[in-house]
Amino acid sequence: MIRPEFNFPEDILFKGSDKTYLLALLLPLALLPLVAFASGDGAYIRYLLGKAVPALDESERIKAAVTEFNNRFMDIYASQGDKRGIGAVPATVGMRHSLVTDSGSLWVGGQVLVYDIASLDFRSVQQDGPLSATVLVKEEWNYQYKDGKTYKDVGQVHGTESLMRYRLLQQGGRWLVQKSEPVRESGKGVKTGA
Amino acid sequence: MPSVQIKKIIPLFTLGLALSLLLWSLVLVAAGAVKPGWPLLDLTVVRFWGVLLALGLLATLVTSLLQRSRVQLCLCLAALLLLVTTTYAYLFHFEGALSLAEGESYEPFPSSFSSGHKGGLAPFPQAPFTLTRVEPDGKKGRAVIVQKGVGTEIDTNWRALGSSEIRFKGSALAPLIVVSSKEKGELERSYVKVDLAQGEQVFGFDTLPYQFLLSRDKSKGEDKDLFRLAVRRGKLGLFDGSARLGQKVAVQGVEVSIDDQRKFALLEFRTRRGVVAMQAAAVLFAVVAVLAAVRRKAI
Repeated sequence: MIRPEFNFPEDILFKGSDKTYLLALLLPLALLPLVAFASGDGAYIRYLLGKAVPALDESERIKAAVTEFNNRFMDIYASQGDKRGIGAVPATVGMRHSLVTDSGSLWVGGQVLVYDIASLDFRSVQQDGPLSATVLVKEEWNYQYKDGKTYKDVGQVHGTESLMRYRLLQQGGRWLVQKSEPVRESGKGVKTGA
Repeated sequence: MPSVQIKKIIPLFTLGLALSLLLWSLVLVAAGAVKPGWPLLDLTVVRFWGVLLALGLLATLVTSLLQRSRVQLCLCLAALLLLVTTTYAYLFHFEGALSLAEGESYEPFPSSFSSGHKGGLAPFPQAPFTLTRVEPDGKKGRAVIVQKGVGTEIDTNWRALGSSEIRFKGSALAPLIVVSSKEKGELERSYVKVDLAQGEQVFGFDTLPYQFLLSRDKSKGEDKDLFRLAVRRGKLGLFDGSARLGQKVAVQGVEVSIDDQRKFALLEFRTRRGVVAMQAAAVLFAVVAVLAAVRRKAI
């Protein structure tokens, strides 16, 4: 026979050891964020923390990834297209592929292009979600062509500046550049460098 | 007695699991960390919580049988049914967007879609078709597809196509970009499905180290054949200026031209298997919960 006298959840809520029952009810609430970190979803909890406490947001880590990306980009060009360090570039596989394609074609008419960062001015860092971010950077670069065989300078050092938009993804706890694309500054246009 | 305590703790812990899942889901959605709907179930922690909840419900089901509690039994069964149907609907759901030009055919391959969300066991929409016309006779928001020789006009409302549904999302003109060099001939020749009506678009090709910025040049009025084109490589700007349809632009040893424009449509697919069963389970669960509450007040 099914006993109809038992009322769920009142009977168990207000009888017996209240503290134990309250703990059983509230424990999952506290455990979920911890399990999120353990299961690889910590970025979502960090995102919530960053929203609640701006000092805890990911802006500095995102900026560091973009700076590191550009430093590695410069290294590839300064080493005449040496791609041995490509694995250390904080970029997605697709982005690394495009860097390899680009560095493979930097030889133009027996000359090699060498870049040097003059300045990276972060205009905005926006975290679009726990795993994605958009960064706008005003960049200034110096560049020069060198002879492919003797590595002697060919012509003068030139300067170029542009506004770049970086789209980043968080993978395995690291921020990686997924895409970098030029943005036209209103009224000024993209500066022609070559 | 400890055994009595355990029998009471199990349903409470299960209730705590359900409430924590609900609360954290609401917080994540409200903060913009997760889009409402299926993306929530992409989180490993949510799936893990779902498994714990299912185990908790099974254990509560056993305790309700032992305690002969009819209300608790009905609530557990309804909740389990809701959990199972939700899992089924999630695993078999599909949402995707793709763009097709007039004359192009849809094939059920992952590469056909530009974006989307697919459940683990969901197949891609299987019915192949050919898009024959976009906005026929100037009718906005419509396109014609042909399937096994039969033409069907689709619009912005969902229409059944095989076991899936399809709808027309929008249309645009895709420019044909041609890049060639004197030594190697044509290096690239592709229609780029970008919507220039949305403003300047940035694109590139896997085979070339260039990035292109393209927009309509409106400095001389509404001329659909006049574009503003910028070509970049790495950090360098190589060209920035106007280009007319068919005009060749010399850029660092190559020539770039926009040779043609072709209308394309943006289409959306979805497969919603098990959604009706899930909604029915949700209604059943709500009814049982309300009945339980009413009965409690009556007592």
